[in-house]
Amino acid sequence: MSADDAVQLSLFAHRLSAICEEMGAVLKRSAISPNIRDREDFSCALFNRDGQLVAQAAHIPIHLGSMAFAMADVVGRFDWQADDVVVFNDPFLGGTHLPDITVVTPIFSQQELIGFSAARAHHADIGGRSPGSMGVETRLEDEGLIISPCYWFKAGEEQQQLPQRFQQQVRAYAERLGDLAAQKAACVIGGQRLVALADTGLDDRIAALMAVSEAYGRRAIADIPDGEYCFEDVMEDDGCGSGPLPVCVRIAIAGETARVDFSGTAAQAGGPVNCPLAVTAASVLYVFRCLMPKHTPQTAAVFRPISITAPQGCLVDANAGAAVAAGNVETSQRIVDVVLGALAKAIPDRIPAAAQGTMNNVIFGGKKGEDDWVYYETLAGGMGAHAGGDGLSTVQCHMTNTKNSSIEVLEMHYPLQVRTYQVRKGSGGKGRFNGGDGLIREWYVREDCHLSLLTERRATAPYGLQGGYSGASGKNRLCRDGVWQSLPAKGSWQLKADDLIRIETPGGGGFGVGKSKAGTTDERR
Amino acid sequence: MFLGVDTGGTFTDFVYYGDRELRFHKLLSTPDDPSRAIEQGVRELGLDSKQLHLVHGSTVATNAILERKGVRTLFVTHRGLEDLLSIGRQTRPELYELCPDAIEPLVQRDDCFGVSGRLNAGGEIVQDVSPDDVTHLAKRVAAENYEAVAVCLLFSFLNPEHEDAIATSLPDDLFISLSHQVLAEFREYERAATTFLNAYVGPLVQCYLKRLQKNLRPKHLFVMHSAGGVMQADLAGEQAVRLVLSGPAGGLVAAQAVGKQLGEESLLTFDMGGTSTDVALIQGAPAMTTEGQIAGMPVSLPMLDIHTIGAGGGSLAWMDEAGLPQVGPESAGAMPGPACYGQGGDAPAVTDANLLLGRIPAHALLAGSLPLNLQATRKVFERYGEKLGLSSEAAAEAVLAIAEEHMAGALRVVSVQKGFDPADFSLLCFGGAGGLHACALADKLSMRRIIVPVASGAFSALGMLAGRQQSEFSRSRQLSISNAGTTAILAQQFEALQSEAEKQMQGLTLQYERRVDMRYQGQGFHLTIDVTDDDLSGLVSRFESAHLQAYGHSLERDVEIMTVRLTAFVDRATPALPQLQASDKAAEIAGSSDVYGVGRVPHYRRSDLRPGCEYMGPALVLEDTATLWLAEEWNMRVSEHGHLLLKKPDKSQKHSPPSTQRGAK
Repeated sequence: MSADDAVQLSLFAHRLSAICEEMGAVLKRSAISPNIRDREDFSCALFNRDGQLVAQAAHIPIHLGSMAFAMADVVGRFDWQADDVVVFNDPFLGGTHLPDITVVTPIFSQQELIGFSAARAHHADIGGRSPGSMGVETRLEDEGLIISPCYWFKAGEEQQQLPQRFQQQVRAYAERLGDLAAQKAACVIGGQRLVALADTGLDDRIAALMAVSEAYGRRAIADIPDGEYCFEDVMEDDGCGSGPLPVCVRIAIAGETARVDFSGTAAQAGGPVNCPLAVTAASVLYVFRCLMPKHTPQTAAVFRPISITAPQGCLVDANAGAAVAAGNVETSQRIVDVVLGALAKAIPDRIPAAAQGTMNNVIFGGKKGEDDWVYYETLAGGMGAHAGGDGLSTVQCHMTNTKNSSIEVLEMHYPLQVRTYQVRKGSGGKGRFNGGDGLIREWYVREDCHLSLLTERRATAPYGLQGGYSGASGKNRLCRDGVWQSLPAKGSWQLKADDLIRIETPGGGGFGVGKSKAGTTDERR
Repeated sequence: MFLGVDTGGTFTDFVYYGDRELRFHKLLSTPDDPSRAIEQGVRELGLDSKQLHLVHGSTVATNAILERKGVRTLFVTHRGLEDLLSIGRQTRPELYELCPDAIEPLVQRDDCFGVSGRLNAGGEIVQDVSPDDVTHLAKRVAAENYEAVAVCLLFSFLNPEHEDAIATSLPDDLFISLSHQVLAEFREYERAATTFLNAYVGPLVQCYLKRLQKNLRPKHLFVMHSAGGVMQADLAGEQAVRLVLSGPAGGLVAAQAVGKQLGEESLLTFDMGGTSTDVALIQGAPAMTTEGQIAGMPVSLPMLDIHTIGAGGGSLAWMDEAGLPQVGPESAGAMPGPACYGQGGDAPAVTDANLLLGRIPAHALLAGSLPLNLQATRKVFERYGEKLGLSSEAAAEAVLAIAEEHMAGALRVVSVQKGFDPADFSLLCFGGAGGLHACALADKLSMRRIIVPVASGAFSALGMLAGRQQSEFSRSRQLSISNAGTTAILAQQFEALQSEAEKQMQGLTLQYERRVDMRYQGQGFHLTIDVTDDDLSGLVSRFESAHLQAYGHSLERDVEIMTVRLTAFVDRATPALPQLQASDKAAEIAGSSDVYGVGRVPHYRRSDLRPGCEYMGPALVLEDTATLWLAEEWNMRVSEHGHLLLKKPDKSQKHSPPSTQRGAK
């Protein structure tokens, strides 16, 4: 790379990521469902003509790595024409879990395919057996509509099959189609902007950017001492009676490359905690991305020096057909925990204790007259403490960063009332530095409805490091007729009017041996 | 006699208008008490303060929030929701930071108080506030010397009964902010944060303005607010959170006035300072937003949509891990400042790049008085160039190109991202450093016209004089357009807001602008649409075309109104800028110097330029505190009021071959 090229590439990288930001702005503002517009559970990206990620806005980490990992397979399946729009959600064909629907459009400049723009968003329902399609199922087909990559528009012509399938199977399908339209609009904008850059040698510039950006990944790994580092933690259960399920990692650092191997991890489970390899990759790549500098371009190439292997048919590389709803939102957090835990042995000053290790997925659903309603929320918790200070309290950790829904908005739309929304004081693990606190949220149920929970760290606790205590485990509780009872970490229930649901989310782990602060009741690890 | 004063920056700027004469003045600011500089300025200008109509852009509220120096404030909400402000939206600020620094919230948990009582989403009382809670609250306030109380209860914008009851129980001399009065709109976190900030800085603003009033005794004292209007000082104290953009708002108001004068209604404004750059879009009127933020907290009142990025003249260049050059976000600040300040700065800043390339002439004076140290600049660029494998000059060009890419990115956010093509706009450039980059930015964005207004160094103060007295009123009401009764309810809502306005702005002849926030049913974001008559179908079609413009598509879905908005204002003539004598004789060349890559270029003193002549780039136009780089292919003339109008002739119309043929040759 010549010095002049370096200047041009720096400019080019900024332009590409600005395009992705703009795609996100379009999607967020024109989407219909609260999950996309308010909670911002979506990501936008640009790819080269081979389906290699060349830019992505900093939206949701779980989307970043998984798109980088799996788009190449998808784009190879079509003979692309201008104004095609392809949609998919199949976890074993480019997707993550069924509610994450991806819209892809090819980008043509003067009849030549120059790349792709894609928008992935988490839809509030995809026609699974339970409202919100995030229940405890044992087969992928029960989790909802499986869309293998297929045309929504072919050369600009709408193909009726896809909308028909939504209409037949998906709750509040009109809202889904509105959201898909917003995703398509975002892709179109991304395409137009890339075409505007396509004057000369776009291919060469993309190739040069890819070549250069690999260096960020290599440098980050070179900063980690060579060696093999292992760590193990567990998913406490699969919601169907199996567990705990070990997640094991062995990371081999050699110079500028890393091998991440999950041998020893439990076999895939009956319940929905399985991950397609794309989700596992997203989790691993997230951790390494955190070790790279802030301005690192979001290309597939930064991850080239990292190889990932897992025994086929295990929890983190499940076979097609396995239930995966919680793999994306729960197991991914545990994968982050084990990768961080292993790296803590190599670079203890740069790695925090465990964060809450769950997204605390809470899904209410029911009928309002003729119409279905679904309300999906993930709850924040504590981040782990680190060598530099306390962990943050009541924030979304690691693989997600979605916002909460406004209490007023949810009370306007659903028969629920939020009674409590508080910091769970003292739930962060103690240490020289304390883990961040989790939170407490309580919903009063005004009408009979349905509840699904997909949570973790109820029976186990987020680990501390360097002698710090673990964070407090989370709790799920139901109050019916004045009597409190515990609910399991995962499951679906029919709720009655006047029920009260209370979720307490885990605190982050503590770091270092404390001076005089008393530990929590949790075990020191 | 009108006096506009902006105390926001290092200097306090004065613009005086009386007897058809415009005078400017500048003084070092007195940040510990900004009013001292104002009093001194009034004396130095020789004005009789008792005759003055004083309009003030104040950063008292903004600084108190940023420096966390507001008053001790108790936040009151429902029991169980006391942590509303610290939980916020649950997000972490940095996505890929494993070990982020702790965030200290503006309000401590001990300063949050929960009471009983609930309304439902229809505004009906489900549970009353217990009298015991109210008594307990009053005792707590008395015992702990709170100076202000902020109250935010759910759905209070539909029914203020509970918030009012709490206020009644508190002492009269306490500063009290009620959420239904500060912002009668849905979304409790945003409303609570806005209400809290209002209480947090209200007593400070009140006290400051009272002091100013007492010491100066002007005939009228007005303060510019974030929406670009001015409000009476006593009202500004009550609604202090409306002042967070008090300073920058002046610049946009002035820009709007200049644009109007020149017949240029579509402007992108560009205000580049040392550490940050503000950009905004004006189309007839400046774009507004209700998604403002300060110190990580939302301020959801309508305010001018000013987009700020952390890139300015002091932004530092560096080389990253992969060998790519980068600029910012780190800045040299005022100390040590860029290397050319000669205060020990040892990394190349954007200003250094301009100096090295000759776009700032070497003999220019910093802030009009200090000489620049070209030697120091050369040294840092030698080192930086060596690292990159470039000559010093090529490295400096790279720094400018990257800095300009950041700034163009900011301009795209306010234009392209909202569905506007910058090519349809003129770039209006003010502030100290903007003139060095205006031509390059315009080129990048295919813009063909640039305006460098008169008084661009005191532009915000000029805007103070142009601002009309104005207040915004709003109320959230979900109304489906397809409902038969909507027209009547809408009229009713506007009437209610109008009587609120008449109450607040008594004795004035008010005019009104009516708007509604509209969205497709179920969307989370709205577009604000002008209401010109009671024809709802016209409203819907305006909404649909706005949606198409902003997001590139429209939907087949019902449309609903979420919030009703009224702007009440007093019309008054803007002070006219004095006209310059035209002259068909070109200004004398004041000198010349070498600009890298261009050759020797002439200098003009801005004060010598008169309407009537055209000047061709390349050239440098010098002012005491600013330099304009008139690049090649650009030409410049002077308007009758002294604005510099830069234009790039459209060559393609003459002889450029169609682009398709170029490749064939």
